[in-house]
Amino acid sequence: MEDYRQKMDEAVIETLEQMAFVQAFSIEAEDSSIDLDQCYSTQISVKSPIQGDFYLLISRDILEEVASSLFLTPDEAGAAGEAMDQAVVDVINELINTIAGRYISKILPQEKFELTLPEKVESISEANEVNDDCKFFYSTMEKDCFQMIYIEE
Amino acid sequence: MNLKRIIIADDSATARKFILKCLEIVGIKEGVELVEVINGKEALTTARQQPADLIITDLNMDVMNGDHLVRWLKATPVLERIPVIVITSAGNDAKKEELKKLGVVDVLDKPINPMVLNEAISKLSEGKKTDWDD
Repeated sequence: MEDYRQKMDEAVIETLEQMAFVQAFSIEAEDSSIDLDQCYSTQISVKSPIQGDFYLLISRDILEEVASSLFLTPDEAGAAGEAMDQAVVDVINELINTIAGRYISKILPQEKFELTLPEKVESISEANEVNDDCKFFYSTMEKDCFQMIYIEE
Repeated sequence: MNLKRIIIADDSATARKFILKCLEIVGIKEGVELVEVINGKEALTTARQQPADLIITDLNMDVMNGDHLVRWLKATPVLERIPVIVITSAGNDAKKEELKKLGVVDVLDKPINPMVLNEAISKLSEGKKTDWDD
């Protein structure tokens, strides 16, 4: 299990650093201050050769930071509204696609695999009711916490 | 290689913006027409309407994914010579081998960085493909 946890940590931290330019690190569940009600959440599945579901729960603050650096001019960066809402959704979907792909590539380097397209999570509380072994907690330098869940069928 | 028109296919605006940023950083933006599309079908349609010098594509897209796009390109006489670079999060060794056999120039891991993208594009002008051909 620890090997899987390390690979998930690598996938998450590498993606946040290289794509989002956000430094992140793994933390213990009891150190996490994540507020599930305030998180954006998205889900992606791996269909073959293994089957499993990934969930990413992350604050809007982190997503806006990434979206601002990629999508918006300095004048627009402080703006709210539909443009930022769409950008935030796109960012979280790309994050989970990249994290999931990197993780599966690490655990199955010699087998082709398929991912579904990211989808909005309807019931994060339901997904969160899984064994703690399926949960991976992270924090950024700014103390924002976020969470990955991977449930293998 | 004188790149005048590059098609970037990815259903994620974030990913497309990231690729554009990387191209800008390595100086491949001035005088180059960069066309963004959201799936393989749009990439095919766009390439048929006006020739492209390079297609950069994701794999996991709706409507038509990157695998099907590459197969269609290689099966279409007027399009088969367009070099294709795949940028994907699902590019493990097995997938890279499969794409190599389809004739893809290179497969880069998401998230890419400007240096890696520049190295892949530079090999086009040298007439090389990837280290796989060595």
